[in-house]
Amino acid sequence: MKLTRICAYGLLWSVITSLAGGCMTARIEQHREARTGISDDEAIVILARSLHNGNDTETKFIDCVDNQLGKGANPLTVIPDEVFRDSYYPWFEPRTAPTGPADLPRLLAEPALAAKLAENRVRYLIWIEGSTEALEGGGSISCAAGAGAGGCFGLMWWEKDSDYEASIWDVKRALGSGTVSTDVNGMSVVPAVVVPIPLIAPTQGKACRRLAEQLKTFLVEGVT
Amino acid sequence: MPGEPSIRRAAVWVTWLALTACTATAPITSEFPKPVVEPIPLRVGIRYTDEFKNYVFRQKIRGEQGWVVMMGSANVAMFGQVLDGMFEDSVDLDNPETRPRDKRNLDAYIEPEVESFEFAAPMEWDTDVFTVWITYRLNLYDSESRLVASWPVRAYGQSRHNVYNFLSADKALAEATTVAMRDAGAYVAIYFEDEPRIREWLREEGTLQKRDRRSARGLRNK
Repeated sequence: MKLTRICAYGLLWSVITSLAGGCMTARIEQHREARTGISDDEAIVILARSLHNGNDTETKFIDCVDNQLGKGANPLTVIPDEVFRDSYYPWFEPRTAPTGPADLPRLLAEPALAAKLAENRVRYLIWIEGSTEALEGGGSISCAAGAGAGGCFGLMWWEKDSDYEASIWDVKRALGSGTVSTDVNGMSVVPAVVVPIPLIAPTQGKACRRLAEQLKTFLVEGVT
Repeated sequence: MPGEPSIRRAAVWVTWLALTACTATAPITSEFPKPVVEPIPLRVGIRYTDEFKNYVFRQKIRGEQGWVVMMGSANVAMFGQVLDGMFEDSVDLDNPETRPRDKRNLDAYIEPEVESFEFAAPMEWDTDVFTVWITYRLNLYDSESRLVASWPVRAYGQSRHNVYNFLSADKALAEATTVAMRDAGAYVAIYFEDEPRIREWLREEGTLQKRDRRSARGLRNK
């Protein structure tokens, strides 16, 4: 009897969470400017556009994309952002970093830098711009406590939007290969019947997985 | 009075706790990368003044949180790495481990200074970032200790900070300071030769021509 009740609660919980998780819409876009392709011994770098330029990409998001690209089918060799910036100092600091693929030839004209990029087989620089933001929401929750009892009642909700764009630059050919962008929108809900139950829409995680998946296809398959 | 020392000790502790509770000390890292640039064919001696080596920025406005930024060892570490990567040979003249014979026959001397340090905290400007501005001054002397150039290097750094997280304000300020210091190092490493007086001096010394010849030879040998 007790076990059946536990199973029923478990089932109800998984239905609620999957419903909340399902309240998301995702959009992926790709714009190709040149053929791509990558060999096993070549590496890529995922870099966040600088905070100096008003960009607010979370470090957590960059780490997630790094991680997703480095595993699964066709794993890619990814040099972590911080390691790359240190290894190629001073060329990728906020003030000195290239602003567009048109800057690549000038950058590659620096003999020490070009030699090191070639030595480490760095094939693509991928610049990420964007962030996750909480948009409008509503509702309210009231809590009260008395002698020996207490609880909360109400409902709160808000919308979250994870909007990111990746610009892919080919170091070997010194040109821009294209862009891949993702926009995931989801509704987070906190119903409270005695206990508040937060059902947060994981828009950032989904945006990360979608973007990484699309990037891998873009780089590995060459032409899509 | 047998209990007097322990009361005094307790009073000292209470005072220390009260002071540290109102003052955030930003811990600046001393790890900086070496720049990936073509070295300038010069033997350069680096002199750090005591003020530079022990630079501490303090700010305490009555009724507000106090700030302490200890940049001395980080300044030395950053310029040490940057100048070491920029020149064919660099000698730290203040390092006791530097051998006297290494201090001879130097082509030039460099003496960095901190001219100013300023910052803006997010709580003052209603933002979610710490912003730091540092102005360094790089004094370049020739082998006869004559001043060649006194070059101001302005640097800027930002770091994100959650205003509700009071405990991490010191780390956020340290991060913005580190970004500004790296910015200064990057600017020095890339634009040193472009500073007009330095460029003119390098031409007079034949340094740039020497490097160009070397690069051309390197290309021919490839």
